[in-house]
Amino acid sequence: MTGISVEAMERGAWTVLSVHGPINSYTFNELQEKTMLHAGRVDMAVDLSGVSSMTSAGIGVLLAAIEDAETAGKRFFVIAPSEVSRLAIESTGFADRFPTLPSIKELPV
Amino acid sequence: MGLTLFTYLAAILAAAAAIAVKGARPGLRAFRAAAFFSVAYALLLATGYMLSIDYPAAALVLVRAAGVGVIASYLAFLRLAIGYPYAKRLFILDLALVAIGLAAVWAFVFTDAYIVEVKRFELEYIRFEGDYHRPLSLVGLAAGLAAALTMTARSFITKSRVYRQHLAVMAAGLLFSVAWGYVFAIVGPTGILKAAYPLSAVNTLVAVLAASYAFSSTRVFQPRLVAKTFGVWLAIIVAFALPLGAVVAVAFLFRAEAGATALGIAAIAFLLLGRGAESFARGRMGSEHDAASREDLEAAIAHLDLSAGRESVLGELSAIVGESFGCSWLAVLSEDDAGNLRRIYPDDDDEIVTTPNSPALEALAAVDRRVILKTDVVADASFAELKPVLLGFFDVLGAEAIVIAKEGRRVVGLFALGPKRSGADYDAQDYAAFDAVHGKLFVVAYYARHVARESLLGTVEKEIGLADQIVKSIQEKIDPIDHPGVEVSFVCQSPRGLGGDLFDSVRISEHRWFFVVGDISGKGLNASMSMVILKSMIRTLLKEEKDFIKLVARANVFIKERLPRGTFFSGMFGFLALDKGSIYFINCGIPAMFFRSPGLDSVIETQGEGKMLGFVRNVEPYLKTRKLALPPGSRVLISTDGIVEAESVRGERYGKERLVRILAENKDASAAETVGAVVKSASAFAGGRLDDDITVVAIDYAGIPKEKKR
Repeated sequence: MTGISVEAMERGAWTVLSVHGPINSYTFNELQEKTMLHAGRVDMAVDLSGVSSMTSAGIGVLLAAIEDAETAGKRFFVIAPSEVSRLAIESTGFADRFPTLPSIKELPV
Repeated sequence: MGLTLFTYLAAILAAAAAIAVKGARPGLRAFRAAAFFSVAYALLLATGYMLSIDYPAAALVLVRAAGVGVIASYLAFLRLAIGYPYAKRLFILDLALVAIGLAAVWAFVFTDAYIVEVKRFELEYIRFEGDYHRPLSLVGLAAGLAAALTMTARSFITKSRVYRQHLAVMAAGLLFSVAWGYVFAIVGPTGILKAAYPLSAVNTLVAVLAASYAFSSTRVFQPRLVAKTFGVWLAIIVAFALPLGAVVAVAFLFRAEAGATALGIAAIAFLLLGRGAESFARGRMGSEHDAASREDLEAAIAHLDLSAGRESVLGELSAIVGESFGCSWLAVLSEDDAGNLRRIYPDDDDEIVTTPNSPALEALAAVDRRVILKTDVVADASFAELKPVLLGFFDVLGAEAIVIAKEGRRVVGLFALGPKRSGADYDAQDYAAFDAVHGKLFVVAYYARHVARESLLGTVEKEIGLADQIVKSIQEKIDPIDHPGVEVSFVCQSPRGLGGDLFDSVRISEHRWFFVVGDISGKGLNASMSMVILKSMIRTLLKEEKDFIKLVARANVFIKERLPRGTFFSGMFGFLALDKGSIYFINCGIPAMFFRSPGLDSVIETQGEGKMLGFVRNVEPYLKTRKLALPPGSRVLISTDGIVEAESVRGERYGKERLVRILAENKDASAAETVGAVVKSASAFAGGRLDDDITVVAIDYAGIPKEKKR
């Protein structure tokens, strides 16, 4: 089973998590732990360009992070979702619940 | 007109407040009489004042009648003060009060004892008082004062704290009313407050509002919170309302020269100061703090370690609840297999508290609330029929508040909270907190219901073993679709033994079943607990909601607001109408629903677009009911994403094409064989290890049953 890597970095006011690999029921814990550390505390973005597959486990982590951010009045963006993660987001029927930017450079100041 | 407008406005508001009090409860007739006479007093006085320039004779009658109105109002308040909150018949008292009222009519209206004449020149209001004006006014004042003092005295000696609070609030409102009336109506016209005479009947509003509060409030409030709210309002008046009034007044001083500019300045000041007041009030009224406390409480309950065993879980819950609410103890009751409610915590003596069909259990089943405070039962008229039984139940437990976990009408668990250590009653804030954490307590109730005592568990593997008991017992509890016209087969499994996938069917009538297939997000224990709760909630909603779309929309609200953050549901809700040969369904993000017709001998994808539940609060506009006609010999295959998204070791997805192929290859196999073939194929594709929970359902329709055709 291929593993996942989640790297956190600071970019101005933003904390950006870059995810590489598949997000599924075996790997989502790492993403969940790192999003829970930051979501709702700081402005956060999750770069999904390196995601090779994403099941409902990944959608659930993103939704929780978005709701945490909304509650705390913080900003949240999904960055450059890969084709599979974009399809997973669209399969929810509520793609507009996932504010998305094409690249990390587009993050507002 | 000027100030008189305020009196008319007060009369309208008082009438509205009185009309808003519904139901049949002790003291309501006296309250309505008091409100009626109060409103009449305000209207008569204000109209008399208005007519006193052009129609002094008519004005005289109206002002005299207003005097009767105020006395009658205070007499009705006195009756309320003596009787409230009991429904005792006090015939002699009623007779005496009516006699005093009639005497007042005679003295005030038909003699010159009260007022001889009224006149007005612009704002100059002249009242020619009769020889007995002062004594008669003081009689009215004494009636109001007697009512207020009686209420005050009874607010100290009445047993129920919530009624004591009602009496104290009514007394305060009435005292204010009496004082205001004395200053503006009795002293005012002869002193420096002459110009403010039209305001003299505004006091009506305060007394009626205070009393209407008593008839609508069933919970005690915290004096600290009231003081804080009062302080915030005071600050708003001083910091925002008074400056706004000053700005508007100054602007309008110049209206003749520049009317539009004055209006513009006033509007801008209103917007700026209004927004300022709003943002000042936000966060200071206690709401944000309350929300944060509730979230902490929710989080604490959600993080209970369910693998620690029942006694340990309930012990920890007791500590959390004790700290949050200051309750002296927590007792947990759970339904047993025979339908009794047994006490399982703190004593674990399995004492039966109620038996099936007992009045207490029937009452708990009938109540449409999930949190009940004892003060609600005492003071809320909607509990009138169940009051004796419910109060008896509270007394047996010694509880002051209960939180009920129900599945439909069935009570599966109950949390009873003892008196607060501080001696205070549970209040509206506590009620809101109980309501907010109900979903989490529901999980614990289910856990307690389905997990045996730790001492009986022996060597069962902890987390998996305990939760597996829950999942299995819930999954197995369905109404099987057992009908000659159809064969339904399903598999619902998880790679970890615990999962959020769900298949449930509920028999609606002889030929109709409701069913739901889907996947609750999350994995392992959390997902399975969410699934358990959702399944139970859907069954409850099914009993309450007849509109299919609204039922799904309510399930969505439950997921969004009650299940852990980030939880969502992808699946479908369906009605299988075998008498009509149709499936009516709502797609909520089911990834695969295939239909195979024997006539066409081909497989069609039928689920269409769908919106998952749990993403937005109001999902109703997005939901569509679809109909799928089933010719005899047709098959429907439904699958959650665990099959479609299964991955091979090379990272390839199983996809829908393979599912269609299996369906075509198994066209002559039974529903059960087809489901087995799908699971076997996907599992083999994934190298024998499926990553996700899977649910596959096959529905084979044979045709409309013969007896129905006839």
